[in-house]
Amino acid sequence: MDPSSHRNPETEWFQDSHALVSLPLAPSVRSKLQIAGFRSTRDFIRIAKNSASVLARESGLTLEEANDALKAARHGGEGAALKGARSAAEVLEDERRRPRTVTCCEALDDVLGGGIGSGEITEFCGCPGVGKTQMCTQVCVSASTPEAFGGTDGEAVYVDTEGSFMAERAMDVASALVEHLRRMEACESDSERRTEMKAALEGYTAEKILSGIHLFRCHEVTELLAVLETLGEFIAEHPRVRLVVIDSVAFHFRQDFQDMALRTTILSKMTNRLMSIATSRDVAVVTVNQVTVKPQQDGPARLVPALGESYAHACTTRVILSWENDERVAFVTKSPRLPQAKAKYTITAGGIRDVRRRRPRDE
Amino acid sequence: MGADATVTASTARDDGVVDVSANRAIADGTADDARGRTRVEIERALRWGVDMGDFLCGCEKETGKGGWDKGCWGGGRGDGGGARRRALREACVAETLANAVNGTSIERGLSMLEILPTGCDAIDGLLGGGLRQGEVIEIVGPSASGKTQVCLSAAASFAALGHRVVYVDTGGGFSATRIKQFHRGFLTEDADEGEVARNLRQTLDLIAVHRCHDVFSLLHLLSQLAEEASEDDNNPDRATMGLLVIDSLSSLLSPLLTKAHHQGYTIMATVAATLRGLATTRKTAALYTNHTVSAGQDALADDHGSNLKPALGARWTSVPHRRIRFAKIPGTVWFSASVAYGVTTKPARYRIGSNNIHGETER
Amino acid sequence: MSAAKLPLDRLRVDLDLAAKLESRGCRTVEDALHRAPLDVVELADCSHARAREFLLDVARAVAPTPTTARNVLERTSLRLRTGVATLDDALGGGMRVGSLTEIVGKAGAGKTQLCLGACACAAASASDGGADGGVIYIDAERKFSGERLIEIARGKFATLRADETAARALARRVQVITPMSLSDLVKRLDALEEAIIDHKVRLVIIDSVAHLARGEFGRERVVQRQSALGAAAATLKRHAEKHGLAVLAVNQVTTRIGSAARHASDETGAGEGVGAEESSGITAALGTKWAHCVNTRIALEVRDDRRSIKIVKSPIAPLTSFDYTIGAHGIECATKP
Repeated sequence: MDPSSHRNPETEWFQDSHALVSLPLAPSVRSKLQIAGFRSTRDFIRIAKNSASVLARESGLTLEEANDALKAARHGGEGAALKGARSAAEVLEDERRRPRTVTCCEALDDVLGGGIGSGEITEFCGCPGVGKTQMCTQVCVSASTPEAFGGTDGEAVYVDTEGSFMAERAMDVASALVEHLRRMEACESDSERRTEMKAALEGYTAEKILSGIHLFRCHEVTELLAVLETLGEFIAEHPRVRLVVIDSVAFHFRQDFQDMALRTTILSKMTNRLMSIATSRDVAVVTVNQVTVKPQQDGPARLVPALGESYAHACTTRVILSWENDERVAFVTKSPRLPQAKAKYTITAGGIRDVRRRRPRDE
Repeated sequence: MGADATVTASTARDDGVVDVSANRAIADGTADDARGRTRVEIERALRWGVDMGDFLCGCEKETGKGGWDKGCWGGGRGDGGGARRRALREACVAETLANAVNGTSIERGLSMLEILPTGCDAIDGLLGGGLRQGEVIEIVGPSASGKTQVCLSAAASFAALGHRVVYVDTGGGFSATRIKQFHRGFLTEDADEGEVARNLRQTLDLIAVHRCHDVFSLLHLLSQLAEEASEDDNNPDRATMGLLVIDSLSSLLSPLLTKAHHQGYTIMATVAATLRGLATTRKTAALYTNHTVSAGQDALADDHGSNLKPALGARWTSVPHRRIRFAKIPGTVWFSASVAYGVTTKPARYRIGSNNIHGETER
Repeated sequence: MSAAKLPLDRLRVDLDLAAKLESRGCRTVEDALHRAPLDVVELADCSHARAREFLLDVARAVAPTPTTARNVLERTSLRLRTGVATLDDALGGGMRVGSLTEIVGKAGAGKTQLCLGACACAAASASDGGADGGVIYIDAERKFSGERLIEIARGKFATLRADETAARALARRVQVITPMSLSDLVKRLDALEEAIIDHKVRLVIIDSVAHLARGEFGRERVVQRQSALGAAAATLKRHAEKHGLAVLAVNQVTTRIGSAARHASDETGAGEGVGAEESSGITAALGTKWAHCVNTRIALEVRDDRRSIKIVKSPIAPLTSFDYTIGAHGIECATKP
């Protein structure tokens, strides 16, 4: 026995006998294969020499089923799209260079590490009226910021489940952003950067920004699930999309599902789908959640994010928006790379902005 | 002395312990140094039956070497502490084998060597030194309790010690910036910046990040890793794989937990068996996270009376060798970690800092 | 018919799989999409790849078609006035078409008066200065008064004071219905679609939602009440968007009797702005879930002798407040803010 490999013959047998289960096959196909004596993918190679017709003959499958089985063995399910590993060094480069979508409130962008990042799910939750839809509108508009200004220069997808998206408001926010960028260009001292900025601002109007915001209006949870299934396809057809906003996840899930176990399963399927889109299409995903009142044994009832403990793990970064003494505060409670931190923000006619210290109210 | 060292080194390799940089260390001359100086200590340790893990963590304290940080780091002296440590370990192996009288003591000797720290001393204390290679450890805890942070710290620690790390990220929580911060935290403040940068590059290159969104691509990846085991034997220059991290395994598996069908459970059992088999075959530690969901009656009884239970619940209890439960201590920035079964030890308290995770009695 | 209930065999999908699923009890779109992916594989006995293809086909058939914000902008700049000039100005012209506006206040604050004012503005003909549309007035509390409506209308539109026939025509455009409960309301709305189109209804007023909800579900059945509210809100919004009408809903207030009340029921509270932090402990009824459904919330506050209208939640308006009185002609604003 080769000591260097430390192979345990028991483990090996156990692994191989289950190897067929690890393939995404149809149950009847799997049982036919097992009856025919196939134990693992090695047997496909050994017995069937990787040929579909031989496999079909040996196991009693149809040619099509045999083809499916071989394909599954080769790629391992959805892993066909597996991008393969990246080294941490490459990831570090990405984290440094890749532009993030800003909220236009500097304090909040700071606690978010520069803004909302791609390849992850950022969740905003809060009471009604605290500004979740405003935040979504703002980031949809900011997603269009040209690269010359450090933006992601992209389009956005807004999945609206509550009917809260207001096109006029988006117009106001977009006009304010265009104004702001024009002012930045005018104040730029470096002539090279200035020419870049000028070129980028060519044709960059509020209408153009709004043409780049794709709205899906879902009136019920089935429509929401359908949109999520087809979103990958949509983004493939619209490769300029850099941001996906779901406003809100909680609305339908809280009322349309009585069976909690099913709700949890569907929510996790939805999250996996979103995570997969975020990674494979390299977009930022923003989800909006509501809050619910949770009675505590000690002390007053607390507001906690809705959809339960099992959903709390779905997002990569979680920001709770709330009111504190008449001011709006964003609290980053969960983040893989940043400590918990608070930031004050306000909502102006032009969108989400920092709180100015001089003026007591900026609304 | 040189010839002696070479002979012993190659004997060690023939007996199955693959230590890649033994040759390099010997060429550097540091191995001789290590062997000579620590022979006495090794003998003492073996005589007293001290756990090698403790020994290696404690030896710096005994020799009073300046610049050795907790967790066997030699970075402070800027002399490639990793190589020194590998040489030290190689010397220990050689010593064990030279003094061994039967298979059990070889096993015991070898198994005592393969404990590597996670980088958080409180957790390492709970684990008796760190993660043992070949062991499957589960971290279970509510959202934002530090699970991902500990995974990142362990990845950084193992890679910095020269082992390859495979990091499977399902939730977008991997952050290379954070790895860099942890890495810096392992070394003392006065470490030479150039050396730190070089070491960081090596560390980052050793971590491979995979994004997985469904269980079949995970199984595919695990089987690929199992196949690579044979490659390792043929390629001595390549660093051995030391750690597999899956963050989070429960989010991949919980969609399978539907009540209706058996196939879900079968797939879960396959994952469990493959994971354990892989850990043993490749002598790597496997660390994965399990999130929590709200329980009905069967809540985890912990100090804070929260009614949560692990997502991968009853059927999964026997899969990991050890299970650590994390919890946030409300009202503070501290977290508590405790081993869920086995020897009941006092729970450890830790907090997450900007470049390390440190325990309560931090220096 | 809602997308969820469409049968699978009517869609452009793999009919073999659809047949297999139907034999296992999975008939409609809802049955297919509301499942874990593994379930479909098991039920239909197909490979995962085929199951994914199938679900994708189903989704393509029922997913709503996207539009751009720019298109929406061109379509929905419409507003319906409430009749209170300062309030309309603050709201950017009035109540937004396609959304749910809520009025909250204590008894006697003037909620019904405000509703009647909005009703008058919507029903008055264009030549008189109104929106020239029909109104559906859902009168759960039996507070509607045709005479008061005409009185208010005359106050707002000078031309109606003399013209008797115009005033009566206005009243005829208002259809009053009295449902027994929330579920009754939802059913009736679905049935009213034809009438909505025929009479060019522009405004639906519900006076009051709290009354309907409380009548049907007592204090114990909070969970069912919440889900019925959510369903009602979704139906209302769907009609509002489809037919281009505005929905005005009246809500009551409840008093928060300290933390005891919070433990008793799960969701009484967190209506911010309406005394959420005040010592008087008043808050909007119907809980947080309903609060999330509402797009705009206007509070009528009465403190001592002073009455003020406060915009508490609005996607576009800043949170302002201004004083008002109730006069012969409905709500009148005393001063500009």
